[in-house]
Amino acid sequence: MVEETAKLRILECCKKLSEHKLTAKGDVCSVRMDEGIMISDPEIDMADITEKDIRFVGKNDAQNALEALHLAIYAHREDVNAIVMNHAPFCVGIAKKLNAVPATLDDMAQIIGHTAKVSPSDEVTDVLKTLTGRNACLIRNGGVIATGRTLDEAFTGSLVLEKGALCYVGSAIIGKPVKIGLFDAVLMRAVYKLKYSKKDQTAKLKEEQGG
Amino acid sequence: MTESEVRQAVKDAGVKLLENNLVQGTWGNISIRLDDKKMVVTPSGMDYIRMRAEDTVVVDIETLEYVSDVKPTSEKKIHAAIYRDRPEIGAVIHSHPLWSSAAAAARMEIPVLSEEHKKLLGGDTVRAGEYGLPGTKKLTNGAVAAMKGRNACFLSNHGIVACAETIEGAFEVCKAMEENSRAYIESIVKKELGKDTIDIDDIFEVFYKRIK
Repeated sequence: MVEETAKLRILECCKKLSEHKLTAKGDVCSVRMDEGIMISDPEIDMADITEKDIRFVGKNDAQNALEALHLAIYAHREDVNAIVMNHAPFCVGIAKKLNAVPATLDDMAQIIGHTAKVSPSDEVTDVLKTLTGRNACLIRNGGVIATGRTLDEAFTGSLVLEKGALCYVGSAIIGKPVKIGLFDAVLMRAVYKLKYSKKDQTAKLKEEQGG
Repeated sequence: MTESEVRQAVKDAGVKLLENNLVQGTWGNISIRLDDKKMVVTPSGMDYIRMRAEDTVVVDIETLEYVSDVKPTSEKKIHAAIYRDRPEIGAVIHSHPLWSSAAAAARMEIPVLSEEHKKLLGGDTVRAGEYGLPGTKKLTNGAVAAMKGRNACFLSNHGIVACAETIEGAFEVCKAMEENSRAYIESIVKKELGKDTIDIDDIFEVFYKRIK
């Protein structure tokens, strides 16, 4: 991806997350580059981020644990080209006491997986294990990590996970959450990844790469 | 409206849904009745920003046949079934609003709290259609049954369907569904905690009690 294009995409994503009120200090977005990643500055509020707050980090040049975590996810998951780490309020509430958010909605089953698990920490090994077979996870007493083939998909995943968390909470308050069965959830995810979203995501990846 | 005006209206309604956070990404779909036999629907798997008016698809309400290189939404069956069942309906929206989806996740019929919403939604309650995989007959039949005498219903584990004579009206029904669902969930929290106003911490206080 071209450096300037990557910065613009990250900038757009940060602004959208901020507009949706899904952020806190420490949140970041990153995208995969040929020899490393482009990542936003966690010290800057997403609403205030500018291009100069987004920098390139080489594959072996992590300066801190956060950059090392992002590089590790990209190294471990070839399907991931973008990562959003944010603090969405219902996900944060869930991550305090539960071990997972089960999918009670089809869009969560499709884009995230049949559950989003809570990682016991933000250590690389815990996060990689928790993300296995899924596009997102929560961090115990922390926020959300959403990944995608494109930054657009990671952003949407973050929105969908927050909605999934809200729905789990809301449905428990008024009645009982009904989880989507494992067979249906796996089927929905396969159709989403291999058929439903393939054309759209391929086009978006081309756009995000400045094609 | 001409066919091209209807196509543009479908595209505009999609953007409006996205801007109002009533859908996320490519999820949800929209249709407007073109005439007695045909409807214009959103394409499958394309987000509303990238979608052009010409990407919408004209589909036969009876046969579901279409002449286009672009595939129509897989939920075209629900749209067509509503038009067949309800001749007065001119627009249908299937969306995934946040609070309404919570009721859909509980597969529950919930009360409609305000008179204004009762008028818009067409009844004292909102029902949930039977659960079915996306695009299936079971989902379609469940939606049509739950919509009887109403302008909207929940689709179990899925979202909502809203309809009206016009696309503007259907959008208002979507908004009413979301406002009513949120008000209902919040009313339970308020009642349980004995508070007139609540915040997210109150919602979690009740939730944590439920999951103990």
